[in-house]
Amino acid sequence: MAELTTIPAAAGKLLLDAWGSILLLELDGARQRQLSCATIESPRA
Amino acid sequence: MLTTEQIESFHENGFLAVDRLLDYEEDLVPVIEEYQQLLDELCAQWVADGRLDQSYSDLPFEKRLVEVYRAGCDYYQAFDIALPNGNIKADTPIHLGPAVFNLLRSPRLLSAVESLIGGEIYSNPIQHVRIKPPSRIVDRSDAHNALVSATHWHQDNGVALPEADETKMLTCWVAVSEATPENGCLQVAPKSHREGIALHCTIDNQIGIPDKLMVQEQARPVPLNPGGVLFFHPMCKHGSLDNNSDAFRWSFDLRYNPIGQATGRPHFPGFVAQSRLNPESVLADYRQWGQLWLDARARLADIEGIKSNRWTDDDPLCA
Repeated sequence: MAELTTIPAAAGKLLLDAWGSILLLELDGARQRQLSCATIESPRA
Repeated sequence: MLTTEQIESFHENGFLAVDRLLDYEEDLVPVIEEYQQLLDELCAQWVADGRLDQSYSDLPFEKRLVEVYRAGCDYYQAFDIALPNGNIKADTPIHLGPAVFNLLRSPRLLSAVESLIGGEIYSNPIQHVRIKPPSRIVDRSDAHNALVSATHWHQDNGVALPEADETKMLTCWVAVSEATPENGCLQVAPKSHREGIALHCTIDNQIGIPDKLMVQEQARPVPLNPGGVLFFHPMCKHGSLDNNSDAFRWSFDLRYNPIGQATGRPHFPGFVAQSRLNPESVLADYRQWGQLWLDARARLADIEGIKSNRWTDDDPLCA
């Protein structure tokens, strides 16, 4: 069963990496995490 | 450490060129000096064997290499940092020096690699040095030797065993000399890493993608200054151009993958180059690295039929 991860919208940028995995790239590029499944919180007004 | 924009560009396009990533003095000069010393030793041996009429010790490295090559001495396997894919003998030469080992572990290189595949980094044994002479002096028998002449379009997954299809393998093409379209720099097909594996055939003794399956307009040459590195995905279609200059073109192609994933060459030895989780697992002694290769050579000598790729040339497109 896939891991479900909730990510604060401000945590970084989600992208499809070159191998087809979902990657959370923190905005300074210094850290990254590979995710198997993700839900993204809507930014609050 | 690469920037966010560089990381995004790599994942989007399947390749990323970073000019002058390496420090010329710290990363490359020791390698160049090590090869000069190796050429000294090889010339002395070839003179002793009667294969070379003099050692040409008064010539600079490249001019000396021209003379050696013209005399028919096979410098390229003696320079290479991996065993060949077939016909391995107990005395097949391989270069396993400390400067090359340090290049494989360069903090500047590994920092960029970490940005693309994470911090648990294994040095994949699919690795070569390519010191390619000007095409005009290449002997006809070497016209399709990928260590000497241009390489056909291929994917690195296409020249590895299928066990590595799910491996996050990263190729790092390191320019030691300047690489230009004239002297045979690499060319890539942007975004081709999303297209799946292409049929590869034996073409002129190389494993490559038939021309009829390539869209030549896709080709993008990637010039680099010394110390520049081209990173690319194992499905990225790439090849190299002919060396139409008057000088040698010198590069390394090194590969890394996350620790624990299949390398695509299970019979060759890799090593842990960096581990954040288990730092004591890192191999830091070049002599141990060298011994792994020498053990592999002894184990593989005179064994026929070692598979290094999946292709059989049965497809009609290979005809």
